[in-house]
Amino acid sequence: MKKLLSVAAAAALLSLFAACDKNNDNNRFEDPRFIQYAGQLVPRDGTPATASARATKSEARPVDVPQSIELTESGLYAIGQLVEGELVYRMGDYTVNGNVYTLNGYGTVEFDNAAPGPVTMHLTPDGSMTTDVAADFNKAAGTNQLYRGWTVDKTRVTVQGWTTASADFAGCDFSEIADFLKKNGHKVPDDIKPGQSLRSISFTGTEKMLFYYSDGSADVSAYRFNGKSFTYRWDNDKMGFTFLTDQATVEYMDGKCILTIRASIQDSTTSGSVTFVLSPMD
Amino acid sequence: MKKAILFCLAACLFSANAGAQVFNHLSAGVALGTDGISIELAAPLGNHVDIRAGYGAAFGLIGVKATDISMPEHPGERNSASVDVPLKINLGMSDARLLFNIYPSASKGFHFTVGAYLGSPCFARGTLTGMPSDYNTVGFDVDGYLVKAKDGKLVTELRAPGLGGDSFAVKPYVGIGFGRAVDPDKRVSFSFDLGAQYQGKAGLWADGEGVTGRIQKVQLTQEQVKDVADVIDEAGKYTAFWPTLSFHLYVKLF
Repeated sequence: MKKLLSVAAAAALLSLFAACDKNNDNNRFEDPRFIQYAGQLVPRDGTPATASARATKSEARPVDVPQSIELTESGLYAIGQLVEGELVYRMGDYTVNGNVYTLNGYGTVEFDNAAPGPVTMHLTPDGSMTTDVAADFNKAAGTNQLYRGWTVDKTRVTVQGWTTASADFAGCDFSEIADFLKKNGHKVPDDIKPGQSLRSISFTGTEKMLFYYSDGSADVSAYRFNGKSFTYRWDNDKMGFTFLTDQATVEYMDGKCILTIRASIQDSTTSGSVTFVLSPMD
Repeated sequence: MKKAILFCLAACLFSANAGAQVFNHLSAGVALGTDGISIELAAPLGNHVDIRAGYGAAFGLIGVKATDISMPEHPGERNSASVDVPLKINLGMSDARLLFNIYPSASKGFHFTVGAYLGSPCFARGTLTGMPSDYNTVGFDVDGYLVKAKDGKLVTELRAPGLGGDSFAVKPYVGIGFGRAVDPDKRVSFSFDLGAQYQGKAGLWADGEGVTGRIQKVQLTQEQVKDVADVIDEAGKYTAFWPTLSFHLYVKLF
């Protein structure tokens, strides 16, 4: 009888531990695919070192040297370029073969990715000649599971006024959210294109947060992460102009990453937050 | 003091039943009352006490409908078209019961009943139907859980814990009645009970959806239900003691 009780107790305890493990596993994610290739390339002074004679095509044009290239742990890239004096980002996915990164929709960039430090990157945008650019490669310190690309499953918009009201939206379709707000008496910017949505959010080990939109554009900010909350500053001043706070929190729940950005609205007594429910891209 | 009273009560019960046979009969019963429809088993603990254990539920029973409620089509736009949203209120109990009938006379049916109802704190359900589609999207945020309509329906519950907690209620019951749960001389017996359950303070609860889709019951605060908070408070006063009137039919199994 004693044996039977011991076995039953052990089985109960094991199932308890199994339940605990399952719970923990639920919020632990595999390393992203491109963790060893991720990093940030920043051209020195933003000017090409030398223009190479290796033209790819006879009609090739000179290269617009980017301000920076972010290479994320999940195989996305963001290139920042000055367009009429304004920093504009575009994003896409990349593949790697040795030192050659193929940035789909942009071209290739080749550099020695073995270690961080000064490198010469051979930049070949599609239809342009190859240009050698002196740059600094900041290799991502990929130790935190936050550092990856995340797809947006759901967006919860919360407004705190006389009471706290929230609204849930599948994914993050800006036009859907804007329509909803408009119907409910709120003023919204009228430059939101139908179907425009937030495709993914990426955090890199070089402390960049990338918002990637359905039209291929992106907004990028630098952030400082302390394990649970972080502060951020958008590279483009136009982003977040009504947000008086620059803090956000991250937590993991039910196999999802919950990113909450809190904001006080300019010239308003109400405050609010936007919560993104994120799933890992890989 | 409480312990002393319980001790005295137990002593009285045991002295009254000294030498009597216990569990020598068993009856199965059904009942209908303001505590719902229930089934139970009853057995004697001597000549003066019957123990009754059962389960009852009152889903959808005794419904009232309010049809003069309306709300704006778009929650944030007070001037948008007004939409009628009928409110239906039903009983919503679902609980186990453990009760003792105490008969002053060994042969008569008059009895006192003490015991408790154990289970869901919900005792009434209110359902708003025909809510505009915006209310499937927007709702009250209660500690990170969003209370909103689903498919145009918003279900709320009046819940009271009695002496228990938010998820499991313990509602003590005291009453009187006529008829025996286990009549040694008859195969079929009837009884009638009148009493009250102590429910404590009632609150308005609803299902809230966490950001990851996890559903949890949450209590709506006065701020969130501003328009009906006074009504709920008033209802809470009257329902602190739930009047329980029930009719029972028992069949003696052996």
